[in-house]
Amino acid sequence: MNVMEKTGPKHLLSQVVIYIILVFFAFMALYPLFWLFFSSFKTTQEYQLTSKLALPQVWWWRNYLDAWVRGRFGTLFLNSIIYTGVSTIVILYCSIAAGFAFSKLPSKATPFFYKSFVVGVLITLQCIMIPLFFMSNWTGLYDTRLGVLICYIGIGMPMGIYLTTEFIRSIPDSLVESARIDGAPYLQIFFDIIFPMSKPVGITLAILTITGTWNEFMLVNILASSEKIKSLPVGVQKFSGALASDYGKQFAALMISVIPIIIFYGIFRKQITKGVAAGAVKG
Amino acid sequence: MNKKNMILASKVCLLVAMLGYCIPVFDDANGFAAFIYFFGAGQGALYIFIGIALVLSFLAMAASVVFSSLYYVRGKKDSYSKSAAAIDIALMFTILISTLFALITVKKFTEEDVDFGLGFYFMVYGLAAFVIVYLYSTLLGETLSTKTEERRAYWMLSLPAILFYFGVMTFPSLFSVFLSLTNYSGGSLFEKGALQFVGLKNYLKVFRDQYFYVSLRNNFWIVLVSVFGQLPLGFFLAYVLTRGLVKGKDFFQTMIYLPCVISTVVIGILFQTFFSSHGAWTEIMKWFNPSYEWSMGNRPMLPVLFVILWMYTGTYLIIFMANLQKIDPQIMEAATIDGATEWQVLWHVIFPELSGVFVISAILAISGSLKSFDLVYVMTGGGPAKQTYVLSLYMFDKAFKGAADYPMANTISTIMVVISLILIGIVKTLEKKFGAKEE
Repeated sequence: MNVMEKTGPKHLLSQVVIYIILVFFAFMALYPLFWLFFSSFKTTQEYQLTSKLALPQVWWWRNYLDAWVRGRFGTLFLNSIIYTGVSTIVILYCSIAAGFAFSKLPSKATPFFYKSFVVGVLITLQCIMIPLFFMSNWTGLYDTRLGVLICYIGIGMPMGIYLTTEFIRSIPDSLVESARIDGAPYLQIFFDIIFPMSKPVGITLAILTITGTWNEFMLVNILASSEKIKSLPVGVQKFSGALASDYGKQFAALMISVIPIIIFYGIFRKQITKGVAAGAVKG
Repeated sequence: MNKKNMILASKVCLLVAMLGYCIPVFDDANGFAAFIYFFGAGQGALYIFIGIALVLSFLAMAASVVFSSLYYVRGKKDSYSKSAAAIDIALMFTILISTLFALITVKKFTEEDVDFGLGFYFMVYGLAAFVIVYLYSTLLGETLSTKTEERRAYWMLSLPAILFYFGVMTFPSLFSVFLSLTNYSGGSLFEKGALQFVGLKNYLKVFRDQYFYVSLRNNFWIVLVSVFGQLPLGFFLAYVLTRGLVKGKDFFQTMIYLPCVISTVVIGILFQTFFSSHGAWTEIMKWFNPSYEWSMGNRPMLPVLFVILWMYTGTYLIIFMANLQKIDPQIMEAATIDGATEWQVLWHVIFPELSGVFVISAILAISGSLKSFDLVYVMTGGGPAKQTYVLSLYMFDKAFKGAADYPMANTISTIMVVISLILIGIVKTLEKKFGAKEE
């Protein structure tokens, strides 16, 4: 902290300026959410008649109850939890298994497969949207949870393979080799040694998958048409489209869908930021 | 987990599949009633074949379960002998072929309009679990040669990932290129006239459409905002936070990154209201200019661009912070001791170190702009007068709004794939170049 030692008046000034800038940005980041929070407690009437920037006069919590019931948030939450949970588990297993195969098992096929996965990291979901729509129609998976899940798992694969392969490569070969000399089959090595050791990368990957899948909108939007298989973002979008001028309930609905992810972020923010850095830097 | 237990576990999965026969498989008829139904329907050979297949699959399932339990109870051995393994595999194929034949035939080729019942899911998932667990069990035990085991383990471990990935991503992206050269617009592929080559006609159509250029322009604006807004801002904030110029690094980082974890849909709806005539923005503006009136007309992209800047600056903050922390602090310290000012450290030490990250972030920004769909879709829906179209939304509207024009939508998505692939190529070459410099 060499910089801190040079405390002249000029330095103090620049400190203050930097703090002001940072506080400004933190405020900018938070204010819209805060505005959403207190607006969600206003009745629609109060919202329209009084100042948009004032705190509510009466904290009208019934907005939440109405939004929950009318938006059928129970179903939406259940679906979101199913999509997020199942795809996270399957992605974790598949990518750690494949990462192990790619990094520790000798095979001529590895370079081809690994490269094609790396290419997949930059292929955007939008590019394959219409073929996926056709394919789900041909296979009869349109408007089923299974169809949505398969797509989520496939889309999560490239990032998962990339992270796990890099990680498992850093595990010393001697560990696998000595187990081999003792006569352990690869499958046993995988379940007893590699899988437990991959915990750090597993956590990173799980967090990336959970935040990504929980917020995903477009795929469910095109692959699902019936109400009972829609996930939270799609449900919220439909709900607020239907109640575009019923501001109180609309804001409450938005708050309901924001709260879980904010809690999740609060608990795992260290891992989340670490995971994003790990996932983004490779481009 | 030894081989014996693994095989027995696979047979438990098979029992689940057998349970499917006891509860409704098709409509309300339970599985056993279905045997009788298809035998007695008297509608020709197809129905009798279905009946036979159903009975066969049930019997084979039972045989498979009985066989392995007898083998282990009487023999108390850890793994099958060669002939016993052959019997088990033969039973497995009988089960798979007959069950799949029956289910697919009933659904696709009979005149019955059947819905599958709960039993169907038991059967399908039970069978899938059985096959997977059984295949894994073949990897355990001492009967295999090392080479065979190695090869089998490789495929067993990597195949699930490869199948999911090639099925969901690789095939569709190649298929989209193929479809963009045809006139295919939904429905069965094999119907006459459903699939005809039209060459580059779709591409000409896209290039003649004015909205293609509107979308391209808006995508370009998003890239500009990312490269000249998010990147410098993110870098500045990351620099200030990592260099220890302020306290509360964690707090600021957490706050600034917060918008990135929230669903774009929620943010889109929130800001749509925020910027509308009923929102807070008008009111804030009225403090400065009492006669301010809301108008969306003149610069409809501005709110969208603002939200993009607001949302994603945090991502670049995180990326830059991670990379700044990688720079050896001793270099910077040495420079400061030699009398370098903060600016000189920044210019001569940090910028050269981070040049690769800047380039890669810029490319991330471009691919990010191709991904920007949710936000625009929710905030403006492309309006007013399609002036806020981006490529992905343009494609979405062509496919799913009004009269569907799938060939054109596929063409647009192919153009997007091509842009992505070019970017990947650039990233890879740059990675090589900058990667070599680091070592």
